[in-house]
Amino acid sequence: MSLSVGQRLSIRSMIYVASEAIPFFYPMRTFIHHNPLHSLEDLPFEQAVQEGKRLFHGRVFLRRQDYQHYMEQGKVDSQDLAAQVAAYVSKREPIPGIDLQQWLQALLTKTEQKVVIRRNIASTEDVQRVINNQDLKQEAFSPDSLLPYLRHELLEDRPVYDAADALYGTEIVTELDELVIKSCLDFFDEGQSVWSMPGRRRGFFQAWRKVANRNIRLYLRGMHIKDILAVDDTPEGVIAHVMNALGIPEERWVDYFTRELAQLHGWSGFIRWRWNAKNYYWSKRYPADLIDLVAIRLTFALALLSERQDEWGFKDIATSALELEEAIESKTMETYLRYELHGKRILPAMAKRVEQTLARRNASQIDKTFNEYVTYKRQHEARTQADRLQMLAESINQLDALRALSADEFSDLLGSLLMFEFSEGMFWLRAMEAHAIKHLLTGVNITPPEPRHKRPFVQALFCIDTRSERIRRHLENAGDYQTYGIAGFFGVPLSFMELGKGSEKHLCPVLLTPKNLVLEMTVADAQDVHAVTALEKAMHELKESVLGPFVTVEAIGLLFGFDMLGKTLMPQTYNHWRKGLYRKKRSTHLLIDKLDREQADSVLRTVQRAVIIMAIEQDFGLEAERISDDMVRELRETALGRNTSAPKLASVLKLNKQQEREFILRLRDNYRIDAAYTQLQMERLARIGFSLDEQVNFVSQALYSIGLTKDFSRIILLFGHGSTSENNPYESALDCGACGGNHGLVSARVLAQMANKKEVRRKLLTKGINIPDDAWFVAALHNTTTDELSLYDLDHIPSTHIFYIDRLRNGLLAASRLCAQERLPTLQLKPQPREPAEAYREVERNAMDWSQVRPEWGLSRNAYMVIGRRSLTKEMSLEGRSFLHSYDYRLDPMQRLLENILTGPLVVAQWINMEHYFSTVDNEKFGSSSKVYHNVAGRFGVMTGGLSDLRTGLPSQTVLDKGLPYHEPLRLITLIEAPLEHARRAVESVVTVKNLVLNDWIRLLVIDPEKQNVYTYNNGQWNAQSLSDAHEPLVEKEYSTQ
Amino acid sequence: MKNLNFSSVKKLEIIISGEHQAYATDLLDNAGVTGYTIINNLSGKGSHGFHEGHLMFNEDDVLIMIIAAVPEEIVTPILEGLDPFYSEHSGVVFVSDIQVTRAVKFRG
Amino acid sequence: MTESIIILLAGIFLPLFPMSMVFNAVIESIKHAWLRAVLFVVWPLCGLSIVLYSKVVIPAWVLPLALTTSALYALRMLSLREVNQWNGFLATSLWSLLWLAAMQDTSEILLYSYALSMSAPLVLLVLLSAGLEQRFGAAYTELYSGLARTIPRFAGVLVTVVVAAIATPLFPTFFIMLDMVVETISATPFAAMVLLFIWLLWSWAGARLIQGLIVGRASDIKIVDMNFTTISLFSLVLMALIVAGIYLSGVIL
Repeated sequence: MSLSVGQRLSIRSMIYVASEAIPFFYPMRTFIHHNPLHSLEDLPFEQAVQEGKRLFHGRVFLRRQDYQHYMEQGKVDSQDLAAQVAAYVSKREPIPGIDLQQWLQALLTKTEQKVVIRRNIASTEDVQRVINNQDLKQEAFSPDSLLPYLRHELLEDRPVYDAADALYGTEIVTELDELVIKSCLDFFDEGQSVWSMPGRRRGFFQAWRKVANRNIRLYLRGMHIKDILAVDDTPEGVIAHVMNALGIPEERWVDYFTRELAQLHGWSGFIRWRWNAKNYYWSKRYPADLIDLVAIRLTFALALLSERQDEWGFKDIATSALELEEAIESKTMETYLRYELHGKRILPAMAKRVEQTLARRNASQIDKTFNEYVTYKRQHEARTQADRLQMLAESINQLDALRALSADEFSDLLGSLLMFEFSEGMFWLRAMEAHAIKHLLTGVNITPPEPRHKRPFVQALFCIDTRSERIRRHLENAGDYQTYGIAGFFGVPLSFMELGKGSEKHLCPVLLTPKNLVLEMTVADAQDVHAVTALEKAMHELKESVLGPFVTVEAIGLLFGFDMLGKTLMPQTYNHWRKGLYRKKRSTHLLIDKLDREQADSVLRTVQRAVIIMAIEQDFGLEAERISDDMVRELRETALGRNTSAPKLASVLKLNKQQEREFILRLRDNYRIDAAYTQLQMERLARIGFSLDEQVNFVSQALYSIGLTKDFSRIILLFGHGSTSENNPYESALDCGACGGNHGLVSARVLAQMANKKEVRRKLLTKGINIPDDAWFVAALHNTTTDELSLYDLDHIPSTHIFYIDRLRNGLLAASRLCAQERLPTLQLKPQPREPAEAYREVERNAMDWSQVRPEWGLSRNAYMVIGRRSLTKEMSLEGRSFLHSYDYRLDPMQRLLENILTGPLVVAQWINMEHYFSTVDNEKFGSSSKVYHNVAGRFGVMTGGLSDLRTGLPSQTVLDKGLPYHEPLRLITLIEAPLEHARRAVESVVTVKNLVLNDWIRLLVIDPEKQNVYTYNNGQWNAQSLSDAHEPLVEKEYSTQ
Repeated sequence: MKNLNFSSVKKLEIIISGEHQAYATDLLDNAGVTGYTIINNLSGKGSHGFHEGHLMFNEDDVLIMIIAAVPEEIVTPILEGLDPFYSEHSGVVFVSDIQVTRAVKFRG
Repeated sequence: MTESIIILLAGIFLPLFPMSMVFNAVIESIKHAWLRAVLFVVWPLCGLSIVLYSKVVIPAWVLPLALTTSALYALRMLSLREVNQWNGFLATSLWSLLWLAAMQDTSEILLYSYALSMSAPLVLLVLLSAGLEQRFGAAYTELYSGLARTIPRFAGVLVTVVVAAIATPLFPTFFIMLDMVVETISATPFAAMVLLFIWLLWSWAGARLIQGLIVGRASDIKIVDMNFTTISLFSLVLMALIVAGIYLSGVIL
């Protein structure tokens, strides 16, 4: 059976649409925080989380106990909660004798379990009878009443094999997942394994197909993969075949595909990302897309189903949608009992009975057991529900009122409780946010800063990252320092090629593609460091060779043992010593200016000459002294087609014409010294650097966006940030998200270099920025794990400033120590106060200890984003919970700068916030659970245990503390300091942010410094209040109009 | 002057959100389309409201148009292939008759 | 002739298929945990008494029958989910191997101590499954998982008891099995192979039992854990078993 082109394309599109719900999985080398429900941001938050829950089967709010715990700690605004309950109550029909508000409050604060349970057999009337201590009515229970329930559970939204598992206990799902994961690990390996899968160049499906057709193990198991694969060559054809065999109607294919992909959403997300990343090396080499994945998965599924059917033989299990339907219709009782037993819902006391009855398959016995079971279950359900209701009623002395209700009223009450519990999570969330907002508003300072008489000692720009908040506070207290917040890449998207590396890193948010390349070059003469680095490389590679371990252990095993002992017993001392062994990194220079034609030529010439020399050495073993410049020049010209022969080399080596020609050909083909490639390289070289105008624009943009356009101090520090940790696959998650998961030092150096250039400063004058001659920009790095603040490129600093460096260093050290002292208690097992210097030493250990699963808390507990002047938040401690972006609305009359801040940094902050939110509320499904069980897979992700889905999200050690949430799951509370109209216009012109606000993904507040009001966006409208009453939010007004 | 031979082919103009560019070009590749042109930064009005054109910080939020000249026989398959996509997303496809001189370039 | 009848009678108590079905049927019908526990102790002793008191010479055909019974029940154990049934099958499998020990001219007192040390962990398991029934309604795997999280102390004891039951060192059953294997390996190596295979099956079944109860996602419902007295008592008995095991090892090997 062959598909038409149109059908094939249609299937491809269906899978594309189905895959949009699966979040991207970025390789962990550059970990990107992102919203797992990003694809659902078009929906209001409340709806989106329900949809997310359905798709990924994860909790989207904390358990009630956790919220109650927060309430005890005072983190929940009880007034707000009560107001929300009141609003809910006002929309329900009043029930005589029942104070619904009281009931619901008791439910929230006093009960731990859900009050309303799901009932399939017992009716509301039954429950009421139990409450009133009456016997249940004797009525025959018709199995037909279970039909809608069974259809919903087994047919809708559930793959056929999953339904089969739930009915027969066949455990297909686990086996299927394992087989698919193994296939993925084989294909997507990026050099971690020594033996790789053959034929990967042909693509995922084709390579897999070739191997699967020959897989003896599968064949022996009775899985007739060959038959299924013989149907069609293309993945789309196989998909169509399997879907038809399973009997799924075409209109349900897209949902079915989504469900399939969501089952292993880590791998699906990875393949989706990889297919989109057209420039990813591995993607170009070994192409794979989601159609391949679905085809492989469906093939395995059908094979497993058939295999189980063969195994079960005469017991005939349903293996297609049609057969399932038939089983439900014609053998309702048996199907129900099966679903109870294998769906793990069965009441334990009757488990054995049911199991034995089903094994015997005697129709009359099934009938009997069914009736018994149903009677028993009815009692049980009615009893359980009644008990829970009664407990609730007793806690508020309303038991009599409960008993006095009529049948309809009782039903109403249960309905109200059910609906309330369904939306309970949102109530808690809003109440917690209300508290957090209150906390913020009571601390902000609206009075404008006093004008300064003298310039500050030093101005420092930090990333908006929440960890900067702490160090900024301490730095400001350490002396006359002024700090600003700016996106970690300083607004300069660039692609960076590090010294000695062959690949580029994009140092900007993932939403952007940088257009400029920056190279790192050495200042001193190139000395050969190959020896030391070769040793490094060799030591690591020895670990990877298959035979290596046997040889290595004998030869140098002791060295590794020594290393392990050192790392474990004395991490700090040992690591310091070991670093000394490595050659110090030479001071480097960044090339940020565009090359002119001559320079580009010169660079290319140098490189080609070096390559030719290396070629001669390799091919002929000629020593460097015997290779003359002329010889090389001649060879080069010949290879590039400008000369016809290169006699000099031939004469030295005594080569004949043939050998000479061969060498020239080798130079062209293997070493790429040819004309066409040269042209390509020249184009690439043109990417290097920024033009003068570009530099001026970036500097001007950066300074305007933070409101720093005059009164520059002598030294302006640009702090990028990064982290240090050992043995941590999540290392990149602790680095700067704005720099694409790398540290921000390079961006800082680039901006500093630009801003220090005379030509740039001259042109900046025309833009209204006057940087005095004695102002100097210095790049620096904030290590967020150790709080170390280090300065870079000091060899360029003018000599007049040297005197200030000492004072600056002291200030920085003081700030570091105090910051460490503030942070340390959160990291200790038992908080013990320490002196600043001691604390500073202790946090350093975290960076070096390879057993430390929590080197720092990272961005956990993030809750706020403040876009405004520093004076707004300078007086309060935000406990490292806030993103801070400096912004002065007076310099931004057209809101362009604010739009930029909203469209970039705010979106990144929201992604971070949502990532933390979902990893906290359900660390198993949305997070990656404990780091202890993580194994690196293929060099790009982690699995739990030996074989599992790729884990997405954050590990438990990042967001949980001793099993309880450490990060408070709140939506990002964003505060903009600007007149209301100004802020509104900016928000409305950025479509993404407008949607985020309208759909309640972020909580938006605007402080109008001119009117001295604060505006909160809530439920579709802006509520105003003057700042002085900010600690009494007008809750009635906020929730009453619905 | 050389004799120019005109052949009739169909022109497809696919207007789609920028974030789906890879998907659309992949589909055309799979259909056997030999080449296409992409126009960026469009603005326009649809059932979802007016769409701003200026290039955002974020490159995904722009509209693009993909123009391809294809032989008649693959028009229907391509439209069939795009159908599941356009059921969920905004955008349109225009099909028109055009003539080209180097037909061989457009036949896969 | 009478010899066969005596053997068959003993075969009810030192289970030989198909008389082994009696024991399992009896166990299933008894609801009271303590009564079941007593039965677990007394049953093999009855069988041993019959054999030893009648001084019957055990014919050669008993060996393959005993091995088959043991293997059959061990295999069947793998797919059982109900803990009491599992326990009964393990008992059957264990006790039928006592025939081998009896055939090897082991002393009376040693035989009785074998039976007792085999039964001891099973008795503990009876009590534990009663505990599960009390808390959850039935002692059934894969219905409620994550016991290690919800009732860690209980889970710890449960794992130790199961491990003791399936002949792990330093518990006595291990040494008994080891001795049997060693004794048969020279004379009837095939029997030794079967013994090892049965032993393997027990371990596998034990792992499945533990997997179905201990690990996994814990539910939020609060369950009462084992109190201090109970856990001390259990620990004491387990300790005593270990001591007995070490002592037995000295005696046997």
